Amino acid sequence: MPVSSSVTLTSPNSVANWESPSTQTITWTKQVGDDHTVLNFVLQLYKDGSYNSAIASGISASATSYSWSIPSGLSDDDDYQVYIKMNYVEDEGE
Amino acid sequence: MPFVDDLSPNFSIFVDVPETKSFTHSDSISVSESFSKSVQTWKTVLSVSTSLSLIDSGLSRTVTDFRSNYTNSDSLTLTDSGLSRTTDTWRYIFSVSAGLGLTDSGLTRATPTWRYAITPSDSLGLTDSGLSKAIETWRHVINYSMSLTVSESLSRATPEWRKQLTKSDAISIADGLDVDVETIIHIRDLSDSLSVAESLGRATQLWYNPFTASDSLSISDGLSVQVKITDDVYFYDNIGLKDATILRGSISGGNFTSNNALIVNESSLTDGHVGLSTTFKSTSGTSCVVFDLGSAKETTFVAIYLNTILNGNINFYGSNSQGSGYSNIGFSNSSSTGWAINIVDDTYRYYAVQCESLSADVQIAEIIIGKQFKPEVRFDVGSQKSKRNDNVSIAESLGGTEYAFKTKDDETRVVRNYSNISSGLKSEFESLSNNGNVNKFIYSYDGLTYGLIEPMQFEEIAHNRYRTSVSIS
Repeated sequence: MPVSSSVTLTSPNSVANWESPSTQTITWTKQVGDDHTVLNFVLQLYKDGSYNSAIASGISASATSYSWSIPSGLSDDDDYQVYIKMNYVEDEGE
Repeated sequence: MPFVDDLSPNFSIFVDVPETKSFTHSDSISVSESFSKSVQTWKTVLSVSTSLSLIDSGLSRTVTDFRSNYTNSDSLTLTDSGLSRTTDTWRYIFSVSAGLGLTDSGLTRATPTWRYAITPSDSLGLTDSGLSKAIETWRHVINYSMSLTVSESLSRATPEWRKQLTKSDAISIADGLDVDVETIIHIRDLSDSLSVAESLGRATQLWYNPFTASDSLSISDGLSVQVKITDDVYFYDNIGLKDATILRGSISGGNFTSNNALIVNESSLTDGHVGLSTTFKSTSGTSCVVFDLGSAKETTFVAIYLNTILNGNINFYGSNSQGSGYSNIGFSNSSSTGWAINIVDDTYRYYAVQCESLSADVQIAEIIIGKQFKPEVRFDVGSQKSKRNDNVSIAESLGGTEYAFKTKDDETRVVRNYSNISSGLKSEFESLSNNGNVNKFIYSYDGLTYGLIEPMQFEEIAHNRYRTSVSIS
């Protein structure tokens, strides 16, 4: 059975209550599929289901966390989400 | 590019809001506290109470804060910038209950200006700009009858005066770095006890004259007088130009190329006679003479006497090498005949005067290069300018009839008396006299004129002090 690639955010979770401004750690786990090579990660902030702002891009392929300085100016709310995307390439076969 | 992604569950972000319970209507926040409070804190504080004392710091408040919270009791307007005033300024302004005009701008007044200006008896207009109102500041100083001493510099910047002028201040002479040299010299020589009431803008000539207690010259008087004093200058060859070797040719790209055909009768340039001219040929459009002084010498002017109208440009160059390295040090913007004095400030061995873009030959009668001689004292009141009338001869015919003949044109004669000069200035006058006896020089008193100086005599009136006069005709 071939293994597929995936990425899963482990923090923040549903009980997270982060202060603005402050610095918080976003963490994730990844599974790299057969013949796949991870290129980098992208993090974005969503609010109420819509894109709000970029958190970081081009994060190293070996990283499993990112220290996020939450900016001031965000409003008090409980409908924030963090989105992560793992970019990879498929290795060429022999 | 292939990718996989994930989205976290919803989570909360909350904004850091400080405790507000400590701030009540009766809170008395000290000024020192304000430094450590953030803008957000202030916003919070002000939202629950608008009765904060006016002496509380404005340092961290935004313009909006001031605008929205001081409307009830404060006369500041929307244009007042809280950001541009320091805590002390605000505190001072409010503590003395100064009636600031609504249009006063915090941006254009420096803190020291405000602090100084706002006193109960101050009459400075509040709309005056602190940065640009030197005159108003002086008036203020004068109103206070501060006893400035002679040694205090006229040219101190306004803020410095403001900081240091108290009755016990002892500002040293060395502070007056920017003072006109002549002014200081006069003041010291006369041991004059100038008072504060004497104007900042007085020129050297007025300083030199005795002051009276009722003197009321306005500041604006100083400007025109200063122009006059700068005209008391002698321009003559004090670097040995008449003995210099003259080269002929042209300069291009900083390099000199010899070409004797471009200049005709170059010796006339320094013969002390404007009747004989040197021709700068227009053959190639550019022609120059180079004076080799033998060693590098400082010069501060180049004077040229044109006998024909210039159809082109005149540029001056200097170098320490005969054939190369010529730098442009100035130009003449006069195309009319007569003298034109051009100010330069350079030290070179080779000085070149080059006519460029010539469309016709140019006749230059004289060139004088040297250092301006500005006597450190003004000539006396009563010096003369007159016309000689010894130009009529009488002939008697055999029948006994007398005929008057005008033998030459009237001649202007200028006499300048200097009744008290130093030995150093005496030496400079001697140099002028020695040179002027044989060479024409230019003396500027009401424009430009030139003449021969008569032999000068010096009378020692006290130890190392002399009296002399300069007669020019």
